[in-house]
Amino acid sequence: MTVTDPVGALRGRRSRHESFLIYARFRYLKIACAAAVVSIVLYLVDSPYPSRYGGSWVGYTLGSAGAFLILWLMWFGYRKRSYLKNQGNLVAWLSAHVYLGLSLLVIATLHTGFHFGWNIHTLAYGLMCLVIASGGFGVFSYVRYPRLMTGNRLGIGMPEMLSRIASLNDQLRTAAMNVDDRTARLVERAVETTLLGGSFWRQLSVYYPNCATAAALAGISEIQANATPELAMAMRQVRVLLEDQGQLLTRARQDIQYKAMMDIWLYFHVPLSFALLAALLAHVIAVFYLW
Amino acid sequence: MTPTRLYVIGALAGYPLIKHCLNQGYEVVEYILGNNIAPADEPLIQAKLDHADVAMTVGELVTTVRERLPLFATLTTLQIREFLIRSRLYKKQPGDVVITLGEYANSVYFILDGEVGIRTDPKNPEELAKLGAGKFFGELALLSGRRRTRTVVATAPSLLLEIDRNTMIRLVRSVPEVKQAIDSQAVIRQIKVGLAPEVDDQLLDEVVRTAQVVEFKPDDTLIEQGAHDDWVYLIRSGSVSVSVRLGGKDIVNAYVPAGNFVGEMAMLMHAPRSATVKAAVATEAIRIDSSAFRALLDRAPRVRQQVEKTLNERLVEHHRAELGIERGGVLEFFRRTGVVEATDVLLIDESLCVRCDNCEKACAQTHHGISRLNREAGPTYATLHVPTSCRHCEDPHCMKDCPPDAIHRAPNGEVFIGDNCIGCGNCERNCPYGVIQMAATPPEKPGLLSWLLFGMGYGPGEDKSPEAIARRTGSKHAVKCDMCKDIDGGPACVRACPTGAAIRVAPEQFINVMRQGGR
Amino acid sequence: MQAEVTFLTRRGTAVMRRPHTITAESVRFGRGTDNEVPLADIRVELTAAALHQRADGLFIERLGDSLLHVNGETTDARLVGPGDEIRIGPYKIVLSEPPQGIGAALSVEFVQPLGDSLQRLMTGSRIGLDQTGLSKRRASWVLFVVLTIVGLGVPIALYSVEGPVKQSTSSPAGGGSTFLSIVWNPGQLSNPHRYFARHCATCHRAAFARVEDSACLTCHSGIGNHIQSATEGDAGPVHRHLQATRCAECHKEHRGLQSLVIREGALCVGCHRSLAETVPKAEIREVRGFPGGHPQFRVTLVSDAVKKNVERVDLGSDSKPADRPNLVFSHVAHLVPEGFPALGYKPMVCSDCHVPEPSGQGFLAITYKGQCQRCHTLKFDAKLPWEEVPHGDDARVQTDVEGFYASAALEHGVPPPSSTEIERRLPGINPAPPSEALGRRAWVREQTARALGIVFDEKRGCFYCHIPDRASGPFRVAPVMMLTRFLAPARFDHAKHAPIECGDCHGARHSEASSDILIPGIERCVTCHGAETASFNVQSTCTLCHVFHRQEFGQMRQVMAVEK
Repeated sequence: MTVTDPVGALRGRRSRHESFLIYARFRYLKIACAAAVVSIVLYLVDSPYPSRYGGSWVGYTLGSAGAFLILWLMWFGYRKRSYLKNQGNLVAWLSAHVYLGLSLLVIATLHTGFHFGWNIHTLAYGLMCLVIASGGFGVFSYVRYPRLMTGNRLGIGMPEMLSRIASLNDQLRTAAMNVDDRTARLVERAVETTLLGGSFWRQLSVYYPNCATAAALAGISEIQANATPELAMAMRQVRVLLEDQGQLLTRARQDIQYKAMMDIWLYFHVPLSFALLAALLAHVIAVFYLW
Repeated sequence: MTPTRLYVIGALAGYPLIKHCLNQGYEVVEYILGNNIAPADEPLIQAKLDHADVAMTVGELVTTVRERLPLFATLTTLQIREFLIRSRLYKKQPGDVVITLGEYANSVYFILDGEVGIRTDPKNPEELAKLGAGKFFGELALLSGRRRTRTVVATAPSLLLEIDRNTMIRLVRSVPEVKQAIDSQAVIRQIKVGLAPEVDDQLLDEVVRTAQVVEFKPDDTLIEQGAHDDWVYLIRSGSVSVSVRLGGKDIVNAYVPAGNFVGEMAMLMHAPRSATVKAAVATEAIRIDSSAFRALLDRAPRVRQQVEKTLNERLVEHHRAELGIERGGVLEFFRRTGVVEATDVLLIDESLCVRCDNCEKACAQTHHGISRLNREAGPTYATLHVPTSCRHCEDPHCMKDCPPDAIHRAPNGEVFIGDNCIGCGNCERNCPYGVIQMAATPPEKPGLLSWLLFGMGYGPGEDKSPEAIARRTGSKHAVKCDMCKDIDGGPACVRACPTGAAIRVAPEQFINVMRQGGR
Repeated sequence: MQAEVTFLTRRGTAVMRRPHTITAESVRFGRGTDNEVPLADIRVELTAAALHQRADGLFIERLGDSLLHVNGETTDARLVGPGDEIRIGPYKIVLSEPPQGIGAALSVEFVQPLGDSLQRLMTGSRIGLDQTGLSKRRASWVLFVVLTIVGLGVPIALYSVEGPVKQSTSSPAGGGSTFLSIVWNPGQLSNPHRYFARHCATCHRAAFARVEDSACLTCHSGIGNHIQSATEGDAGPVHRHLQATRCAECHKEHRGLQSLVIREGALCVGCHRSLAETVPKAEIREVRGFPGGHPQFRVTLVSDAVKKNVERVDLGSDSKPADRPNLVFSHVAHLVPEGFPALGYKPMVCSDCHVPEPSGQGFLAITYKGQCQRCHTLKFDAKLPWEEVPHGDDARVQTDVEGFYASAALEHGVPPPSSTEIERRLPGINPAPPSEALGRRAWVREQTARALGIVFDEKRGCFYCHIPDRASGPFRVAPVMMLTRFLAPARFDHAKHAPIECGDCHGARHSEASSDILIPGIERCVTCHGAETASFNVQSTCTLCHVFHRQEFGQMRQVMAVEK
């Protein structure tokens, strides 16, 4: 519909959600491909004696380009947190970071001339590959998990989930007043030790083997089987609440896992990139120290 | 011997009129003494004339105004002078720009002398709808609360009178005929500008005569699907939603803001209404008689062309609606959550958002450590999330009751709270979306590098722990999003989003968001 | 029994009391509402305990599964009295002195509130990876510091300690640094240098300095030059270029076991493709590659055996090249199928005369003694077939023969004139005794002349093979010059080509004259040898046949004075 949109072009603002992978019609993907192609061409064209290696003029060129790229890629961590200066949108930077980081794989591999060994030079290369791999996982998790997270939440945020769980705890405590001791103990344990999150392994794996709520539910089924009618009614109430609680806990834990998946890769990506920085420094200095 | 006369001078008094009385009293005394006395406002208005380099006396100006501007024909001199005090005079040469498309509107312009042209097509600056002496322009944006929808340039040496919004409103309220006059004038112009820029006024006469301004409340129906009426509506202010009933459900497939027309399909195709049109917010529309409209189309082939072009596009949209493409859900969501009354709202696509909270951190870092944005809170529809952040409403609720008048709208449309906030909390209570909070200033924290390298301080973002809140000093005052109006680059939240999930949209761009279906 | 039960609630310092009296058989405590003292908390059992009034006082016993806590001690049941404190779940029950007529007085206080559920939930949960104690910052610092130390700090320290090596490393001292040589090693060290691999400073004499020639020359001091030192002045730009090029520019270390010796022809061709223009005096032809671009071989031939001149002639040139060794020899004549008596009538083969050098590369020089004497004897007297003249010094032959007969005459006397003839004599008449002295000299002269005639005979003597030097005398032989190497700049290794038949390359079977060139041209080689990257031929590079550093050209670099 030609809605008159005279101010539509104001401020050059985008009015569509554009992911960092698609940003500016894959501008940075194209740049990265061009860089990779240029590197490959340079590599093939020059055939130094005795073999292609990092110290030929193409090798030095690729090496310098690679080193500069690594430093610029690491700068992203600072740029991401520099909010006052107007340096363009962060989406553009991330798009460039991802694609140029991938092109670095090509550039650096060609720089090695495929000479590998048990030394600091190959260590730097290896660390770089690990950094890029962890970044690749990062991209994957950024593409996959947001939607899953929204789908799991069904419109309720984490704070609200927590208050619902807390309120269910209160309700359970009241509801369990009239049940037998065993059930009361199970419910008490469930209420006292509601576990959400925890160590990074638990957050990632959604493995809560000691979930008291689950234990309570299991225990209750057993008790319910041999319960008197009055007790059974009280227990039904408790059971319903426990099941609600269980579902909420599952949802919350799943939410935690999705968030953790979107965060965990950075715990590899960042430290490894600093390791890479050190190895890169050592590599460059070593090469010219014993020239 | 000259007879001694006793004059008793009296005037209506009362606290607000003291100055009036003093002035009038002074004038009477001078008049009795035989001195030529000019009214107290004479030098003020003269200053305006001098400033605009106009060689006229105040008296001449008043006469010109009364003679040239039909709106002021029924006003007394005193009233005219009162309005003149609050207005500005401009002398423009051909080619001078008077108002620019996109500016935030605050005033109406009257043409005392000369001629202006309204640029009807931004891509075609030479195509102008001309207005001569006695006409006014700029009232559309004023009344509908949006930005200027057209650029206006002077096409001949002109003398323009600019009256600000509040004064105009007062004028309209005090003189009912003015409202009618403005309406009818505006109707002509809107029809002309919106449909047929080069068509003579006379041709439009028939259309204008049968036109009627109708007011609708939110959710009122302008057009009912299946009905046999064939009026055409030109939306003056507010906005409407167009929906189609399919399979028992109303599927909204379009959102039409002010300045556009709806309902022409039935008129052209002689068919029953194909869609339902409802007001999204309080709307004023000009109802145009279809036969008059048809006559116009016969007489002006270019108009017909344009209308048919629009018609074709709308048929496509209609067909899309029949395919069930879900867009209405988004609009319904916008309506429910009040986004429709926003002029600039932050929208987050949750399929892209990685919950990194960089937007919140950016907001806090650019605003003395307090984030005006709560990313997680706020309603969600499918993957479209509206975080809790000021929407800079068309009619800001917060502005309604601010004792020190600290809340204003900046030229670019941002609603911001100024330094003179006294912390009364009225705005926080009045805001239906909870975007305002009362907060004191947090202490300075170590710089970014010391945090990055050594972990000193909290780092970017707002520290919401109870200990940190306890360390905030000073009295609380109201804080809310100001669209980063003082920051180079615009909204920090959008700039800081790494995945492209956060964008700020104006209502004109809702259609783009709707087309994505809140995916 | 009657008991006064007071429920206590504390609010700050204020205490609210709600006392009431109950009458029951015993005071039961528990969660269930049927207990006399209902304790409404989930942590209490339905019926937790009961207080009985006994004759000996108040007695409390547990009724549920958990033990009671009385005054801090756990118990099943015991007597209690005023002042005792009992804990049941979160409740504290304190007994006090009961008023008159009442069996027991106790206060009940809820002392362990659970607190706000949401609060406890939040504090108990660790949501978000940043709450787990994992720290990107810490890990980054640790890795950065460790790698800097291990990758940069330690190697630099080790290198600085090592110091430059001052003398030849024919027997490297102990020490050096294994760590440094592994961590900073960019590529495998070549095989011959591996024994000092731990001593990086052997070659890398200073930090940030390239490997200088002085390092290489410490051991390789006598390495040969590539151009004749004498002609260096003429060679101009080439000479300058060679002097300016460091050893390490061609000999790249750290490129694998075989790295040091250069095999790629590109390095050679780089200069040799334009030497004809650059240094025309050197008369080196353009070489652009192999086999395409390699000129036809130039054989070194004797041009004048007397003046000992040799020349290099292009095998493909129009003027047919001919060798002039001053020797008459026909291979065909020697390769007759019926053979020769001295060799048992077996046909001769190449190896009968051409004896390989110990290395197998070339062949020993052909000598009379070694090869010819077996058949071509230098007998001079039919009656003395075992006597031969010495070979080689033609001037001495005459004197030797004369001397031989002279000594024979002296020793044995001159044999009678016709000792082998049977002479008829009249009976009774004795022959006259000869005049001995005069006869001896004449006999010697006569014998010598006869012998020399035999020796230098054209058909069976010296001049059968040799060229007479009539200008110098009747019995003088022109000097012979025979070359053992015909392709001077190249090294052809016959041992490597052993499986190939001699005749496949050398056309001896058709050669009748000694002026024939039996060295094959390049066309023969390329039937097997191809380019460096040939798939169906022997991959051949310049260094397969040619040598860069030629000992005969003198030293490539002057050795610096040994540093102190």
